[in-house]
Amino acid sequence: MLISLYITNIRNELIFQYLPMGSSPTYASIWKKMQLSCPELLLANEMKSRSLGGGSAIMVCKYRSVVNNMNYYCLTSDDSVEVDCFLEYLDELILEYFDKDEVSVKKLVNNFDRLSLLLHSVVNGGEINVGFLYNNRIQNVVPPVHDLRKILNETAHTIMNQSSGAMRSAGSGVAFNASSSSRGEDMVVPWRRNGIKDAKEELYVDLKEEVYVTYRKSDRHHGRDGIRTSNPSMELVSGHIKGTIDVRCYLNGNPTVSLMFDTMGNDLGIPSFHACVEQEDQVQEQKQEQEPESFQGKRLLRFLPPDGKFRLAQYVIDLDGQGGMSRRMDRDGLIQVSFEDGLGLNKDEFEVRLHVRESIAVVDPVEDLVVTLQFSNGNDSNVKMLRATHGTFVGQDEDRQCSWRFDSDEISAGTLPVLRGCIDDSKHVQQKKRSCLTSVAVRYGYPGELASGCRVTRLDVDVASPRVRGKVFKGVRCVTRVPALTVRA
Amino acid sequence: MVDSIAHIASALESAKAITLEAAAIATSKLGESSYTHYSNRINGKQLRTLLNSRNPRDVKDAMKRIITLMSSGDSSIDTSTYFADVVKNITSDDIKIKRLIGVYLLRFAEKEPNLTLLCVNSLQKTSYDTIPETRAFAIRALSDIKIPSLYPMVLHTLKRVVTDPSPLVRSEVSFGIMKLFRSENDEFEEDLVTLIKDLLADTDPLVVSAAIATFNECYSQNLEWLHGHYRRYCKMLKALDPWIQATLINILVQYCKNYLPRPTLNSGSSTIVLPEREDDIPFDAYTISMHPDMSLFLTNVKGLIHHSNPEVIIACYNAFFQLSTSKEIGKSKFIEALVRITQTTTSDSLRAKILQLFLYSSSLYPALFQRHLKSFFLSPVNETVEIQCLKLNIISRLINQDNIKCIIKELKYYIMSFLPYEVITEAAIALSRCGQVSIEWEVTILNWFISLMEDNLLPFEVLESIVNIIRELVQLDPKKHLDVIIKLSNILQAHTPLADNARAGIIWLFGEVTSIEFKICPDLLRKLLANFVFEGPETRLQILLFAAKLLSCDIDRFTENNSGGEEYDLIHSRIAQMFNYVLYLSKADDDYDIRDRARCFGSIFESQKFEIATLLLQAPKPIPSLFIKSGKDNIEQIDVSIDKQIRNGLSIIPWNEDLRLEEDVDVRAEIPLKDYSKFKKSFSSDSYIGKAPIRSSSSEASESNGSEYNEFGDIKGITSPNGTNASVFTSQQGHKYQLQSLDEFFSDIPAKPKHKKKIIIEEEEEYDDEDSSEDETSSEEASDSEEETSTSNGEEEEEEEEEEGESGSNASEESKKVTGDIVTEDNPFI
Repeated sequence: MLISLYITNIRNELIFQYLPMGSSPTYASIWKKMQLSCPELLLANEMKSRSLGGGSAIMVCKYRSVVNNMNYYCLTSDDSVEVDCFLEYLDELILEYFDKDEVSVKKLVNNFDRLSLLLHSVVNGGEINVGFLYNNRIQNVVPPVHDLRKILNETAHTIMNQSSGAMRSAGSGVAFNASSSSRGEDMVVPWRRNGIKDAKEELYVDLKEEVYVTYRKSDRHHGRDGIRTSNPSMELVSGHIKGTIDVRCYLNGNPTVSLMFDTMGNDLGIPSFHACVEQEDQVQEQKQEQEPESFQGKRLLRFLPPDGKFRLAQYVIDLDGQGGMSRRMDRDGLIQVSFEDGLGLNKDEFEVRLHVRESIAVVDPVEDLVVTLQFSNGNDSNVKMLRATHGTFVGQDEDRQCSWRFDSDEISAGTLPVLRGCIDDSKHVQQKKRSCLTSVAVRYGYPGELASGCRVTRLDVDVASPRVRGKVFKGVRCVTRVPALTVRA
Repeated sequence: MVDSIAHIASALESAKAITLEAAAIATSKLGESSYTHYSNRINGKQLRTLLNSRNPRDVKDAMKRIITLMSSGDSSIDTSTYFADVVKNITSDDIKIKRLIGVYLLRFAEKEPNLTLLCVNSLQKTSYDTIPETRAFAIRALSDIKIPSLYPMVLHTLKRVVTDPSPLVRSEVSFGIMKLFRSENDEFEEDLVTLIKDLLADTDPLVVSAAIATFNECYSQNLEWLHGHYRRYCKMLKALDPWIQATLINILVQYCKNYLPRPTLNSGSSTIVLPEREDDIPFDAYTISMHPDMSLFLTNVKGLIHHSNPEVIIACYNAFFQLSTSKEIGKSKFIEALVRITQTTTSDSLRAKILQLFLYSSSLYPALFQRHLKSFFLSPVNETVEIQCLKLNIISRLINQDNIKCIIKELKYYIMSFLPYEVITEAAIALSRCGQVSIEWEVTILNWFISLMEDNLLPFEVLESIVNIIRELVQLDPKKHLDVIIKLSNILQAHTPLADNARAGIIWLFGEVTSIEFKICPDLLRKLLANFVFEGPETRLQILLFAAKLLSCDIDRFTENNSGGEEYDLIHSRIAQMFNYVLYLSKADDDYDIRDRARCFGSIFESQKFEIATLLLQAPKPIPSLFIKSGKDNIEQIDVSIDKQIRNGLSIIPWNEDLRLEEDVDVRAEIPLKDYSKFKKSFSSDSYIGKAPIRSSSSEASESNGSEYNEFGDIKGITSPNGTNASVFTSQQGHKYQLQSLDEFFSDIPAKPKHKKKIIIEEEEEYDDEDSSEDETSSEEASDSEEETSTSNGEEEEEEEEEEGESGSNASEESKKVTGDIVTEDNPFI
């Protein structure tokens, strides 16, 4: 049972609280209790639910939203998977409701009333209000704020009405009631509002991928599985690509959208889909006894989209199962890394080389490129830069890490940045105890192409009634982020 | 944008009559921030004025301010003091004001019961509203009020609206039942049970979803209520709300365990019932056969494989875990889906729970998880210590001959990296578990640990736990690891700055080795004595214990060799002398414990109670907890580290052994359903393919039992069993009508052939014949009267239309305006 919910900033200062019961404690009182009974929960990265102490069965659950830079705290009578899923979903729901990629504190502060009503409709009697968690269903009950253009139009209209003396004394509720009149029970599907007539007729698909991959430098010319690799000095330790397909849909009526997704030979395993994606029931029934198929090849996704922003699908590509090394190397992003240690006369120098591949689809420069160099133990060692063709070098911190940072417009396709440095470790003459370069990690992002090569080859809006629909503006955008590409020594 | 600004400019020019205040409010609507700025300036006094204002906008501003004060934790104005002013606005026509008051009431209604009663009447009235959402809100607001005197009235209202045509309202009734149930009033029990049973039998997925939530919360013991719905629920699983599917799956698993026979395993000619533990299956290859109702359930569960809600995937996995074999779990691919969730979820708490599930399952079925081994390697980006430790624990349970090399390489990397100490320790434990695969690996791993200690490459905190691990590894079979023991003695003597308890651990190990390899021990003790005073307290204690063990062992050896009754020379023996020296030093130690122990051992040896010394000092030690045990012990070993909920989900629910199957009676035969969609007064349809059957999944049954409900109206349900005719409406007279929205109707005109019109006219005639029928809806009556006029010159019209098609379509458009949405199937133009 959900007792109360609090949204705070990352410093745990209250932004918003929802207290649906007379007995729900305010954040001020909970804050004190949390400091006493579970101070570790207040740490930035900690999310494990904890008892509030004092012999009570009440649990504090926490969810840290990285996108919005906020913490969600929730008091419940039990720590269940449901609460974790709910908090994660709530964060997404707020983004969907406000139709934003990230929500600022200011946005929340300006919309306390809507946020309260939103929570009022998703939580009923301390339980999740089953059936009312779709954004469109909530928008029926709590109409969202309109964008500036709409507000200007509306305001102009209102003022004109006022000036012409047409203002009615009880007229202010009309707008709200009008939008409510698209009654929920008439919704064809639970996730889409009915009677949408003034949409912009736009449809955008955002494809995002995140690459996590770790290589080990290897002297052998054969990979672990015996296949001769194209780059003999690299061996894949583990790696996967996280992919999401987000859709923003502003279409009139109840259109069916077809999206042809080409996995380009990747095996997407078992992806998750939004409830709106048709699951070809009849086809599946025939194959009941068989295993579910992997998502591979060219696949058609048909769906009746919710209005606004939503996550259509989420998938993971396991790089380990994607054939030979050369194939994997093509899928780890734009930049390849290599490094050498033990160079120079005293064997104390190292060199890190990056190679930015050329790609037709990627026009913009690589964003936020940071190379992190990890050195092994050696208490008195000091890392110095000898020369670097690009970027700036930042010295060692307490974790024996150095970073090599680049400006966003510095690196484009085809460049070959090189860093040469040395480890000043005069006290440890003995080779074994010398500090050495153990791993190099690269972090960056680039728009224009997905690391896996997956793409949308067709995007159609099925036109049921051509008179209703004008020309639909469609767009597909690809973004790849590489939060961690690591090469170990 | 430019147009809009131009509009404003012209409007502002002509708006001279507007007062300054009104203009300020108007401009404040332009931006949220400026509105917030305006709102924040409303003080306590103004707030009361605004709440009592006749202008709904003022009231709305005031309510927004109050909600803002409540939500922001701002205590500058006490919002509870405005209770009377707030509550009286419940009569407002603006639904947003009502909803905001609803939020306010949740918080303060209990404190002001008398004033709260003032709004009940208005809420009652609102529950008759024409808009379903408003009705649903009224029901919710009423049932949210926790005032005992009001409960009978709430129950009465729930009874009234349980037959509401809108599923929104009926689902709200379900939550109302939950709230009344929580009031723990026995008087209502019977009525509530009748109500919830009605809702469970509803045809609408939304209502069923809400009813299941209430059932799970209040009546989960009454699984027998589900007999008649079991098959329907299995089939409509996918159509239900995503947030209730997991609950329903868990309920249905319980149901299967209670009311369905245990599956059987067949291998050739032998057949056994599915055992509780997979290890008890006596054959390798087998086929599982289960009751058709259970297969129906599991088949429908399989269909949820692509679900986006992690809770549902976990419930699906549990269903297979409870009802089937590991082979079936593997086939269902829910493990793949769960692995994906651990990689994509942003909630560390959820990730940890799924990893706990894996930890538990991997110790039962390691083969299922071995192919996902690399997914459990630590991620280079931020992961909490808890998750990293869980991953390492899982890895340590997946070790086999094929993957051991890869695992050892990875674990060695973690131990040498800059991870938190807890994680490095866990990695070292996992590495030591690799030694269980074969003695060769054990030796390799031990040597690697020793080399780490020799090179002194690890921080103290980690070194300490590694010594413990080495100690535990050696303790298992000291004879095989003599060379390791010798290397350890070198480390002890090499004055490397080992942590106190690490040194203590090694010395303890030597104490254990005395009985196996006596030769090296006395010399080691001699060397340790020299630095006794410089050692830490734990090491000093262990040296004392070591000396005592050595002496006890020496005495035992002496008695074994001299059976002639000769006594051990406690004064001249070298070992006894060394022991006495330790005793001498220990008796003057700072530490209480050491002094105490010294006196204890001293008195034992002084009084020559050597048997007691042997019992005390050479007792066999239990096998270290580090190692993975087999079978049931293994589960008990990891049980402590698993959350209660995950453990409850995974603990095997016992099968009902007393189940008696009566072959003639089908307890799960579907029972009559409640279909309220026939109350609807308006019809609309949509062309979305494949989604139409959602509501109608059970209408087959409702059709067959439909006569029961005919008393409610003339119109049979607009739904159909296969969903293809979802937009066909059948009147009581048996006429079929194609239902269309106005938009579709107009857009479709050119595409329809005209020659069908003839048939329509015949139908209209039929209508005329049956015009005496009393139960026509008003719209139909209207259409009839219109049709009468059209049929009077029907023949002429038909000819005319055939000649000049355009004018005909115009005429049909006119008639459509009167008939509303109802259009005959044969001719959609009328």
